[in-house]
Amino acid sequence: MPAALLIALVALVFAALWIAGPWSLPAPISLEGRQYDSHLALTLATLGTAFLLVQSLLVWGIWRHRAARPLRGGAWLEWAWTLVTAAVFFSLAWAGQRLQPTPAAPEAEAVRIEVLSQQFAWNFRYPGADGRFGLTSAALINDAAVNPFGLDPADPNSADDVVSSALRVPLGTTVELTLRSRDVIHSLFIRELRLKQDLIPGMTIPIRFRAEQTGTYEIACAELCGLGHHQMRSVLEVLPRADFERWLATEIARRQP
Amino acid sequence: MRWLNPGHKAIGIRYFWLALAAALIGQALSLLMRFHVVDPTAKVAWWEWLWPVQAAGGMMTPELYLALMTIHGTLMVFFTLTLAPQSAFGSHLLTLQIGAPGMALPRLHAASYWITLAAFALQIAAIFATGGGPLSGWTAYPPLSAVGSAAGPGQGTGQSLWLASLGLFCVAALLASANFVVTTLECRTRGMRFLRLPLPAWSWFLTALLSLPSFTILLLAALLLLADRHLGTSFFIPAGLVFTGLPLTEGGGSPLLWQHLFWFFGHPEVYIAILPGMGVVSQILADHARRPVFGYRTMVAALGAIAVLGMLVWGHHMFTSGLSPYARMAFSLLSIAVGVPSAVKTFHWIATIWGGRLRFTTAMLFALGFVSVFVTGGLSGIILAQLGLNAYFHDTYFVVAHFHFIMGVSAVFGIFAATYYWFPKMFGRLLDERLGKLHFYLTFLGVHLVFLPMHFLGLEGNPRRYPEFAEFEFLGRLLPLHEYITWGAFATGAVQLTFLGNLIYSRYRGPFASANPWHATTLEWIAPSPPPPENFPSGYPIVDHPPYAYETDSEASDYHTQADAYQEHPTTGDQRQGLFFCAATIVMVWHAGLASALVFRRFAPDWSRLPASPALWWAAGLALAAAIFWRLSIRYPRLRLAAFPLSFASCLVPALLPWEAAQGPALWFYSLIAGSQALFSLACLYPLLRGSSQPAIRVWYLITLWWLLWAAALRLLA
Repeated sequence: MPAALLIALVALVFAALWIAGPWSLPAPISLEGRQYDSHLALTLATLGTAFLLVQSLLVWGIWRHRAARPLRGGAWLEWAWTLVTAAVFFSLAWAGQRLQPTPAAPEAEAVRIEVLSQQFAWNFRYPGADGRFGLTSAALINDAAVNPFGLDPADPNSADDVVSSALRVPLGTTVELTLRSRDVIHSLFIRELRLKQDLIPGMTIPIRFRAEQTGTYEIACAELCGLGHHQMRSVLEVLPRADFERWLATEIARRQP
Repeated sequence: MRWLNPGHKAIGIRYFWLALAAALIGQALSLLMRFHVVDPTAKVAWWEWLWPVQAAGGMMTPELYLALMTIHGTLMVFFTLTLAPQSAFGSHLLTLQIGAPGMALPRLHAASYWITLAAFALQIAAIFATGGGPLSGWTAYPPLSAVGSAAGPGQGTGQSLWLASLGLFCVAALLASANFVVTTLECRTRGMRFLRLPLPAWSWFLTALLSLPSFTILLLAALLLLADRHLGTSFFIPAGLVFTGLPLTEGGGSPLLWQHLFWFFGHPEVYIAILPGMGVVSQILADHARRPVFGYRTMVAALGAIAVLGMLVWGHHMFTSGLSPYARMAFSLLSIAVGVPSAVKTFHWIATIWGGRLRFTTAMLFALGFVSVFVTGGLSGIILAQLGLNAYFHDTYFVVAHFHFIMGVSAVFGIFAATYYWFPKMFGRLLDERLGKLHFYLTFLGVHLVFLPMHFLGLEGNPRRYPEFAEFEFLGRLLPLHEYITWGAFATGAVQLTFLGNLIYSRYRGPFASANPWHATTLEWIAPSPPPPENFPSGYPIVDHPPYAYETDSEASDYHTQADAYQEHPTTGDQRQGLFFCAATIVMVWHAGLASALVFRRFAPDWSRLPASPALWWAAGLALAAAIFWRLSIRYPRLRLAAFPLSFASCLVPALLPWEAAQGPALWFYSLIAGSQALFSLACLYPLLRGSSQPAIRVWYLITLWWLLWAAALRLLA
């Protein structure tokens, strides 16, 4: 009997903490984030019910161990619970398929930013006024001279490229990130966007998002990248459009004395 | 040489103590880690004594934390969760459950134990390696693990030792699995049809089948990574890497290739850890509810379905790695599909105890606890398996909570249940029940104190594998929860001393056990406790009952053991055939892994053409000729003498020819393919020249066919 009580107690406390506990995801700042939260809520409600149901059956089976009528095998019963479980699980998956990590079509208006990760820092590059990224070369990489991308000074397109250690984006505009890594695998994790994407050396991975709320949000690395993994922090700054333009113009001016 | 090969039961017990040692060390490391995350600047004198560089001044560095984490994961996953359920209990009890006198291949069995022990020694050495232990986690993703000390401390000797340990472990696991498969296929006693096998025997058999392809691929991956580290190849290193201003010269490999190979092993590994637990829990629930297992056939089918589906879901570990959307969707749906047979098993366990006359021994309590934590861990898997929901939780503490429940706690509860259940059989003495029950209640509570809150850390997005949390604002707020978890971990760790004490005390002072203390039905309970070397001293059982014949009509007892009659000599089949089947599986999967490496290389920007097509044609022609000779040798046995050299030559040709022509990775492909094929040929020599070659010929056809397919694929890709 104590086993039944203990299992019941643990299950109830767990369920209560899910519902009433102070822990939750941070408020979303994008449409995708809100869709994510609503599907998560549906999933949690469904699986939470299943959790309580199955644990109660177990507890009840232990508690009434002599009084209950033994369950006799029957094909219909086995088929029933197999099919019901499959239906519940796959309905959830089906409902979740509409969640796409990024909006589908590329946009002409989009702000393009290149992300280059390294042990243990984030680098962000903006193409500047000409809208073109300059050539880079691994041989020219020089962290001491603040050239983490290895920008090629001989290429005219690179003259106005802006390199930043924080990700500054305009409000309500689609941002296209091109993810690259310089050394090992890192992972870009922005909680408020419900966004996580690995940066794989040798691969160029595009992702998109549109932030709908100004503010500063922390960026963390979510793939073990070495001894400084836990210090690999940057921030996403969502600025009003005008502020963003002003900041970019200042930076471009600084690059071209 | 009794100490070298003391027989399968003693080997099982040695595996048990080895797994226990690994678990104790692994748990101690986890406590050090928990201590560090809540108090990163604490100074502890004996840490400096253990790690003079990594804990200089007694203060644990982040790299030491990551090294402890790596070794914790490896010790737990490989040396505890793989060894205890499968190697320890399986070695001891498989033959007893199927009524056999011993394993089919006893010397191979001893070899696998000794190789495992060597792997364990290397693993421990890695913690104390010069330059620090490996810090890339048990998943060891390259390039972090591939480029040596450029990637940080601990990536030198420590990482190489770790990889060598893994490679040895794979070899041992393959030998042991082949042995388990052959023993189950060929050594069952009279009347022990497959649908009369007890569920633990089923689970050991399926786990061994699952181990054959998965450990083959891990062995391949470990060797390729070692080659990248020490032989200048670049299977996993892409071009143009720059480490702290230092460009690397290697290039053309793919880090994703490692992830595919690793998780092709890594996901089945979860089931390798949990299937034996499912088997023993099913049996304990039936024994202690005095009822047959509900829907025995469905339970067997569900075990099989989990094993098969488990091979097809590795991609869900790579949802954030940049796979194509279609691949991700397929992996997501397949992963959710695994939930169905798992849920079915849960319903059957509950149905088995429903209305039964339950006896609450410690073994039964842990079996019930297993069902409860399996539900908790399984359902959070349905969240993670959904493609859309995965991104936020990927690599957070939510995942840590999930796999500790489903793989850690469930599997460990399976091990505890098995220990309390089979200890009397293995050691001939009973464990103390009062201490055992205390152990269960406190452990059940304890694991929830530790791992439930990790779900909430995951909700907040707390990334895993962080040695400290000071850098981030959102993590600083979670410190109180981390502190609470650390208290829980220390308390739960302390509780395990009751188990340890109980084991040691009862081993020497416990009351003697009868042959069948639980009034159970399966064959191991017919043998004396502990069983003598030949297992069944008063004759080998002839099976004529299903495995769980409870609720009988008889007045005298409520159960039938599986056997009523006995025969003087054990029943054994042809052990060679099974062995060849296993060897063929290993060789074929090995080639498939290499083929995937080749495909990945094909799409790398600096791909160079494979320069050895003449070698391929020669080898393919020789293989074909060998196959014809093997076929003819059934009629004209002397032709075997010609067929064997032809087979062997077909392996040697690709090894020798490109040595002149090829450079770099192409050479490696050929050498590895040909090398594995040649080893297989050599292994075949012994039985071929000795006795009937029929089964070997069948296997040779299979391998030859595979080789020709391979040659065609190479030709298309090159």
